[in-house]
Amino acid sequence: MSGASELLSIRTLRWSNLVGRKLMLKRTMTAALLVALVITAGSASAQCVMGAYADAAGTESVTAPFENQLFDIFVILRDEAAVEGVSYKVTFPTGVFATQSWYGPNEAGFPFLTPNGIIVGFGECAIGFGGFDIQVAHYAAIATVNTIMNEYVTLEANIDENPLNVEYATCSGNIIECLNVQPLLISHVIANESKSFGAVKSLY
Amino acid sequence: MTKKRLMSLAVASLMVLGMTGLAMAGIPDPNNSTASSPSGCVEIAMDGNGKSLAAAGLTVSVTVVDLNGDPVVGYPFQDVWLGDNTGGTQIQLCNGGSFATGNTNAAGFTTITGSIAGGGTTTSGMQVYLAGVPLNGPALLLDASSPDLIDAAGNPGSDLIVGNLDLTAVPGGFANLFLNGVYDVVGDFNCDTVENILEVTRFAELFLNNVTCP
Repeated sequence: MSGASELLSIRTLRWSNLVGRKLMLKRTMTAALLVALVITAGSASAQCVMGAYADAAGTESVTAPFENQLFDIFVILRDEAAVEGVSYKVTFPTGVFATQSWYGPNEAGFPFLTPNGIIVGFGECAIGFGGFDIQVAHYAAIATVNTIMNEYVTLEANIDENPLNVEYATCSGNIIECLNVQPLLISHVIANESKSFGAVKSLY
Repeated sequence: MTKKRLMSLAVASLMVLGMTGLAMAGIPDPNNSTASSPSGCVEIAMDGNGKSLAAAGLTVSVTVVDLNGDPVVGYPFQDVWLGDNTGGTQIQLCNGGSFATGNTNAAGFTTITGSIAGGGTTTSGMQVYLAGVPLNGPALLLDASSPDLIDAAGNPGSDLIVGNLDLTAVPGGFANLFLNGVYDVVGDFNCDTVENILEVTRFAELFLNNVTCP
C-alpha cells in the first residue's frame, strides 16, 4: 500500500468512525426521547382540556353577567378517556361568589373538599371517548360588584393532590394529569342601574 | 377379680378413646389445620370489586387436617374463608363473600385467591375460618381496607353499607382519615400505599350508589 492510499484509508476510517458515532448518538437520543415519551404518556394527557365556561356545552369562554344576578359557570373536561373523578381548584375574581354548586356529569357527584381544592367523585364512569364533554361542576355564581373588568375564573391544580396540574382518575384506576386548562373570562359586569332604570322607566 | 375388672375397664376406655378418634377422623380441627400468606393489604368492598388476593400477590394457603393430623379430603370450598382475627367484629363478609378456590385435595390443601365482598377494616391481621370456626394458629399478617369504615352505632367496624357516618365520623371516618395528613392503611381503599383521588372515587362509587351486598 502506498503512503497516499494509506493516509486516505486512515482518513476514511476516521470519517466512518465519526459518522458512526454521530449516528449512534442520534439513535441514543431518539431512544431516550421515546423512553421519556413512554414514561410521561402514562401520567399526563396532552389532549386533555379542562375549562371553565359560561354554558353547559363548553363553548363560551367569555361572559358578561348582570350585577347581583345569578349566572352559570360550568367546568368541563374533555379527553379520550373514561373518567370517574377530578381534582382541581377553582378561583373566582373578587366580588364573584358561587352561591350553589353541583358536581359530576349528572350533577349528582360527590364533592370532597380538601384544604386547597376539591376532589369530585362521579360515582360512575363518564365517557369522554369520541369527543363527549364531561361536566365536572356547575356553579350558580353571582357578581356583587360591577367594577370587574377582564378578570378570570381560573382552574388550577389542587395542591393537596398534585402540586403541578389538574388531574383526573380513570375508571380503570389510573391518575392522569390534564395539561391544558382554560379559564373563563368575565369581560365586565353589567351594572344594575341601567336595568333598574329601564324597569322604573317602563312604569311610566 | 379386681385385676380382671381393671383390665375390662382399661379395654373399654381404650375402645371409647379409639372410637372418639375414629369419630373425629375427617372432621377439620382448628388447632391442627394451618394457613399461611404473604403479608400485605387486602381490598374489601360490598361489590366484591376489589383486587383479588391472587392479583395482589396475597394468595392464602390452607391445609385442613383432623384431630389425628390426617388431611381432610374434599372439604367444601364454600366452608373455607378469610375473615378478621377478632371473630367478625372488624370485618363483615357478605354471604359467600370469601371462599376457597376449590375443595381440599388429597393433602387437605386449598387456597383462597379471590376478591372479598364485605366491609370493615382491620390492622389486627386476618384469619382463615372453617365453617365459621377460626383457626387457632397465629393471625395472617394481612391488613384490610374498605370504604365501609364505621358500623351502624358509629364505631369503627362495618354495617355493610357506605353511608354518612363512614364519611363524617371522627376519628374513623373517611374525611378525617383522608385530611389528617397521616397515611393510614385503613383509609387506603385500593391498598396502593397512598391516599389520593382514587380513594375519593372509590368512596363515591359505593356511597352514591348505596352499594350493599348482592
